[in-house]
Amino acid sequence: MNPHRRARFLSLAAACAALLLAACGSDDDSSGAADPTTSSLKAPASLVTAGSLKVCADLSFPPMTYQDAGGKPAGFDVDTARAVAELWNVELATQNTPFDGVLPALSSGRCDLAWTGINVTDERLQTFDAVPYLDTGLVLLVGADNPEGISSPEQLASKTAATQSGTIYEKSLKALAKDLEAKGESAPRVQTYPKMTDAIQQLVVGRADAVLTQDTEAAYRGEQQPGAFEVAYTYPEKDRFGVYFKKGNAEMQSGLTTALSELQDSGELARIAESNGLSPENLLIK
Amino acid sequence: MAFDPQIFRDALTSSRFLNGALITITLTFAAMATASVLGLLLALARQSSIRPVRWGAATYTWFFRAVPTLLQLLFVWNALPQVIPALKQGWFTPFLAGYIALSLNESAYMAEITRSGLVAVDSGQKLAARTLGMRPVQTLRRIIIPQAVRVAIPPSANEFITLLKLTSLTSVISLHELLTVTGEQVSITFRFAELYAAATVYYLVIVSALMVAQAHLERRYSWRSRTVAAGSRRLARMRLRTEIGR
Amino acid sequence: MSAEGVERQPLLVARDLRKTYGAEDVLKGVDIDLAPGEVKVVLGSSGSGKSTLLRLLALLEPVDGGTIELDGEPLGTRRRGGKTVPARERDLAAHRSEIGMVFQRFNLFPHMTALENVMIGLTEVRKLEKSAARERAVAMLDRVGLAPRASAFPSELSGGQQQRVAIARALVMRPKVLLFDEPTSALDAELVNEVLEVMEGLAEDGMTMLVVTHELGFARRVAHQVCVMDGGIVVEEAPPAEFFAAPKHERSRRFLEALGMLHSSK
Repeated sequence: MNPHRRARFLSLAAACAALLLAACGSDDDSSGAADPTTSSLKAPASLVTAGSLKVCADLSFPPMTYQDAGGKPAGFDVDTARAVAELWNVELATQNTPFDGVLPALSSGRCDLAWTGINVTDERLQTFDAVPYLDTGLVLLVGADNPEGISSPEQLASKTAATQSGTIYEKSLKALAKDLEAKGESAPRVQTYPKMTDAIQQLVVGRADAVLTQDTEAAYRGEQQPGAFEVAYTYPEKDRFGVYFKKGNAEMQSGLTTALSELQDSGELARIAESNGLSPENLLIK
Repeated sequence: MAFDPQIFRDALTSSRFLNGALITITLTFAAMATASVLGLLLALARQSSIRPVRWGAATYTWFFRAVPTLLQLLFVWNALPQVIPALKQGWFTPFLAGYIALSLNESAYMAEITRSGLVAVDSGQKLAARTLGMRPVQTLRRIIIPQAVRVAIPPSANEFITLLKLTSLTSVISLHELLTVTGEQVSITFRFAELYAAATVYYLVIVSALMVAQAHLERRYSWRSRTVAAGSRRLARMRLRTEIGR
Repeated sequence: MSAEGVERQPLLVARDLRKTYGAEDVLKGVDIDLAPGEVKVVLGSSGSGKSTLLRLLALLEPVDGGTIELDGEPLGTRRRGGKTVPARERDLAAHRSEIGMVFQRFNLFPHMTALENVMIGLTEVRKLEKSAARERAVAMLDRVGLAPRASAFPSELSGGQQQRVAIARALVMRPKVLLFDEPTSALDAELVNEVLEVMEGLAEDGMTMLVVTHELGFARRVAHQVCVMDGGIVVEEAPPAEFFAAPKHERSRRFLEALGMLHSSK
């Protein structure tokens, strides 16, 4: 075996061993390693040494990141990350991390990228850098046939709204509650759960009247369980999803932007979007 | 990001953390209190002469120890409302649901602890009480239970500490206790070192207070008069000296 | 002590007592009387049924056959539709405090002081006020020579002291009869006398006592009658002078021989 290959093989083996020792919930996603002599793009140096692209994701946010029937990581973010990893000729290693822990893991170096439907916010940009990739907005999801007849956020007064904790959704609902109270209406009862799926489950249980979530989540639910849910209201303001990495990592910034552009040009990105139920019009990569 | 003492101090005194800690503490206390009472009843039932009562108590402890606490919480919060629609309404708060589930769960463990305490009481005690003419309830209250309690103190304190940690499971039913609040703050500000440290301080304080209370309780149940305790140490030393001198 | 008291009207009368545990007949028809102020000692090897006899007389368990009468009142049995049947628990409980018992292992309540041990029967069963109960308890502790140790816990008392507290606890209830189940068997030799002295004092004061013991000296000095039990029945009963001089029954002889007491003076 030529020394170059042996080095790569050993570092790959080491990377795999390291991943196995990492916190549970770690999923290995191996795409076949391509022939090193035909690499089309230059991967960031640190990744070449490691031989893998470690991505932290909370696999409970379909259609961006989730687990398929076989328990393997799936979703738009995962698929795109896999495509980028192929371009760079490294293995993709997805680490299933609860949402709260994703950015801390990025900080501590346990992953190279945090790619799991994270909104780009000024607050986060103070500590990390990000490449925005998708336009997205909030919606109010309700149960089938909209039993409470909700058609706007104001109508949530004295109703029960659920969402995922520690997110901008929670912030938004709490701000809404404050507004309504200031207007003299009774505030909605806001319940927050560790996972978005838990919150949506409350629609099924019948405890929650509406769930504030991402349009992407709503699209996914619509596909998975036709007729079980409805989008009662779409917020006009649009946000952006971004891929986060360590602040100041210029190599990652340029490498990632280049790789994504390549995928957009080849039409691969649009294909991945559609296969995950998303509209390619919302893509931000040019 | 270097550890920022100011952020740590702010978190420590923030109302969010205080509220979370308050929820954690009250939930633990309430569930523990209920579980202790229920546990005593179950332990007594296990010793009953009526077979269905014995069997019922044994089934209860078997079931509620076997099913994971998390599952019990989810069941009470998500599955029960399907059977009792009134539970979907606002009055059935996450705290109430958590309290019910944790009480039922913990009482099964307390039943076993109490039972071991009851069994540890010497059989002659009941005999003596009966010859004096005391009725079974009096005997239980004045003679048996105080002695059983003494045996049960250390394992019960253990259970309290376990229950304190278990309350963090209630995040799945949207209760914002201390650990949940910590995680949420981390996801917003990412200052996890400072925030984890603040949460740790809270837990240390709570458990330390409990350990002090436990020591105090054990001293009360040592059934020694304090002056005699000092005197007997002196006496023991004297005896030792005379023995050696002989 | 002479045998005079035996002539008076018996206080405690047990006839044909029987008790079976599982498949084993432990008492096979025991007759025993106690006149007021009489002190009767029961001798016997283990398995003779003497402990069971005390348990039945103390009303701790219902009899399987026979009758018990205290002061003319039937205990342990009751009459139902003309027949005599075993008493119910609540019938037994009502009379238990009239018959005191002192145990081999003292059975003091370890979580209470000596004083509280003596008081509890008065407050819980006789329903006395705490102050009245305390007064009587202190007096009783004084009688057994332990007034200065009233606030000590049982773990802080010697075996002899604990047994004396146990006697005080039983005595303070003013029982009609006091039963003793090998009261000194669990004591170190040097502590036996302080307990026997207290018991002698009680006898002198006219307490009616039934004592199961191996202390033959006590039997000789204090008892009005000595009984020997073997195999679930009383095989011999006689005044101590007579008994120790010339035991009639084979078992009595063998028992005294085993204790090395035949024909010796103590």
